[in-house]
Amino acid sequence: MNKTLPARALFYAVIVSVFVAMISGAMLLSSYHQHMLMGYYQTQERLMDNCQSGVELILGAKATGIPQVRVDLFQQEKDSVRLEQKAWGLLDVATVKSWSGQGIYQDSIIKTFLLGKETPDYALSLSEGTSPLYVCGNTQIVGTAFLPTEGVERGYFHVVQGKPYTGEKLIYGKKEIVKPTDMSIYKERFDDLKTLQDLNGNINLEQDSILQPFNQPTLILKGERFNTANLVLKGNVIVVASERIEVAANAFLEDVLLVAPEIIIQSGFQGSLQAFAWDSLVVESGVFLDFPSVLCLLPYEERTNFSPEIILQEGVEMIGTLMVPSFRYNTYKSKVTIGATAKITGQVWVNGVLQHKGIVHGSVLCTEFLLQTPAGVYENYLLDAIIDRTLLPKTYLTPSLLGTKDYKQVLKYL
Amino acid sequence: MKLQAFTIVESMMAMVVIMISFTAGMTIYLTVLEGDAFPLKTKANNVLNLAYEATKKEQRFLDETFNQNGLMIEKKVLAYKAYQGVLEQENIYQVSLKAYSPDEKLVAAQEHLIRVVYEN
Repeated sequence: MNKTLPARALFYAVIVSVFVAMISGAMLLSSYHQHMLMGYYQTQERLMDNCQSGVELILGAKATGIPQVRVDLFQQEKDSVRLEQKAWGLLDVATVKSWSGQGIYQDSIIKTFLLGKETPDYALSLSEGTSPLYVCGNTQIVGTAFLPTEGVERGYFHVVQGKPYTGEKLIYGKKEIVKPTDMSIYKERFDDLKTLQDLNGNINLEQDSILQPFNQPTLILKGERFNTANLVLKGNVIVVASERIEVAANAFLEDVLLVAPEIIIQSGFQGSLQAFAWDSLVVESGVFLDFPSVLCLLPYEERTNFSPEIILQEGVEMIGTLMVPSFRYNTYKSKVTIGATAKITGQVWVNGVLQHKGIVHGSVLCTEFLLQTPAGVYENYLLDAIIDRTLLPKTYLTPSLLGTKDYKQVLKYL
Repeated sequence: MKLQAFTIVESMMAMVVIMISFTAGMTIYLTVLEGDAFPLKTKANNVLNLAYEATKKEQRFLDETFNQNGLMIEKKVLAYKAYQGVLEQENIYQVSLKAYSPDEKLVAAQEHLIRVVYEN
């Protein structure tokens, strides 16, 4: 007798089992992926922590430059960072890279940032000369003032223009005798800046946008005359011209360096840049230079037969630093003109003559003031000029070169 | 059209096979979940992050041990003097944080460098 047990239902059982196996497998796979993802996040978090530790090391280092160096942070051979700090114009740029794994399995985090220091807490520092500082009209100096031995007086300029000094006090803050400025600390940086004019171009302008991160090699655009019309230049880019650079109103520039004997920033331009000129730097009315911008006249080694000049026309607004150094005596002193209603939030540092008719929220250092009117030229006169240190934001940072205190801070993440 | 019914024995056998496969699948899945240390590790890392933030905010640079969210946290602060040359500096500390489970197993560890700025 051949008695077999029918197994028709087993077929359905196997199908259901296959479904159960597939669902279980999917759940296991999902769990595995979650596991992988959590591992990735934890690695990223560790890399970010290491990167931040690298940032702390750079901020605390007293050296002005840090060549690229690899650091095993905790001597456990698993937390390495690569650090570098180098000059970027008047500012300093630092890069921190932390990584784990190798080759295609490498995970890395890079932080790039500009460094700065706290701004000096004086409103005005005027070098010793032969005459006192004369204040006229609606001039306001708010904050500590370092003045020549002759001090400050009400100007008799009103005899000519009918504008006597209107304030109750001549200086709204402490008055102290000025001390000589040690120029040697700036010499090395400006020697380096002068070498920028000899850079060779390494890129041809074939597209209208160049965006170069600071952890990549610097791109250099070079020519005789350069106009930035319709261009977007951002980051690690230097524009060098042997004659002149014109910054057009429709250009988008951020963090780039401009180097030329003559630079003109045309009316309507908005952006942040560092401009280094030798002969003249003109900022036309209506320009807005965002933080951290730098306008600078590079000093000549030899004596000149003209006065290099920076002119900020009426209505210019700038958040940053204006610096004009001089390392040797020259009959033709560098001259800076801040036009009426022009406003600078930051620091004005002029080893030369400053004609100030505008507003500075921050601090001013200069060798002498000059007031030029149709009636004549007046030495050490301020007419309707405002210098107010108290209106500089507390969080404002200035280039490390001009800052106070030993420790650096992050001025801007790039 | 007529559908053929299954016998009791057939049905019972099919149900047993399904139960076995389901039980096996769930057992493997639950074993994997239970053996997964990541939820605890993630929690421990979050607790260590909070402890580090509190250390920075309160400027509490001292060795201490405390319990938080069912974990024992051990904090050690050491002066960091490992680097000289261009990176030479003062006032930088190494903050080591470790989280232990209730059965005293190390669950997570973090190391940070922190710069302390003393205002005059």
